[in-house]
Amino acid sequence: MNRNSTTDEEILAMTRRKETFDEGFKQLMERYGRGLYWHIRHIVAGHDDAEDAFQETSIKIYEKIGTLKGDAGQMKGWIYKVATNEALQQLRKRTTLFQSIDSLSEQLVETMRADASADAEKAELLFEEATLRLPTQQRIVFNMRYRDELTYEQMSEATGKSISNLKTTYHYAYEKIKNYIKEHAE
Amino acid sequence: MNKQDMTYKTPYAESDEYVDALVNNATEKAIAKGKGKKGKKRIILTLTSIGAAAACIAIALNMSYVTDSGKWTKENAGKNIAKASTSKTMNEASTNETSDDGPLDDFMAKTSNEEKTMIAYYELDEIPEY
Repeated sequence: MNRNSTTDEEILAMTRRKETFDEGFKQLMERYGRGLYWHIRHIVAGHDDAEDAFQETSIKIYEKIGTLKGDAGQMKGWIYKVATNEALQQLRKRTTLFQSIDSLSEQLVETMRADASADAEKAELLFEEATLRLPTQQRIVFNMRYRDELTYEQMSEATGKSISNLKTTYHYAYEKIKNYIKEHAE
Repeated sequence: MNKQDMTYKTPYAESDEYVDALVNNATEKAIAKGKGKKGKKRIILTLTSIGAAAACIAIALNMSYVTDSGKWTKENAGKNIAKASTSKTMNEASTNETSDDGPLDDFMAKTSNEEKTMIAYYELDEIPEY
């Protein structure tokens, strides 16, 4: 896939004009699609769930991007917000009545191990297991910062939480993962 | 933890090419679905506009026409009744002239004085329907 040199400002401008909307959407997905998929995947663990959530994300972005207020700097945070919501919706489908999605961690770890690459190293598996055992909100914040490399401003746009709250959450998540790896590493 | 060892997709097996194809597919589906929805909205809007226009026409026609013995006739009776009441008295109407002004005048022309008196003293709901 060719990565084009169109800026976020140009992409956003294209989605605000009817005649260039589809082209703008395609370029947006080309630029961020891969990252959005993996962001979803690290929340739901399974490929099938990730694919379903990603499809819904694409549809929602197509439907709503034209109404997005704000500048290109907020666009990335917004699309990650949509992706996160769809991933959480996918997790909710796995829960029974009154069951919290935080209680799914054991299931998610099993799914991850079943879907993992045969070449995956033990350290990689342990790291992923540690993140999947985090409470959902901590996992989302950790992945956004560590893996997706969003700025705290973008994360605030995506989660609706304050930057100070996000920094604290990220710090706790980081410490938990480190301790988990220490306890379970051979 | 060494971040360089923990890439964005580990520990999963899907390649970049696979994910890129998935992204392309989802993009095309989203566009197709979006276009389908826009088309449906246009059809619904068009049908609603036609329905509203038809309703307006029906109301306008209903206001212009009244039935007369089951037939549609253009409404002049209202104007003619008013005209008749200012230009003729009951006695004048009882000359058995056939009036060209409307059905009420015709009726009055063919009604006897005695009958006219009875009508004048009847309450509206006492007048039997024919």
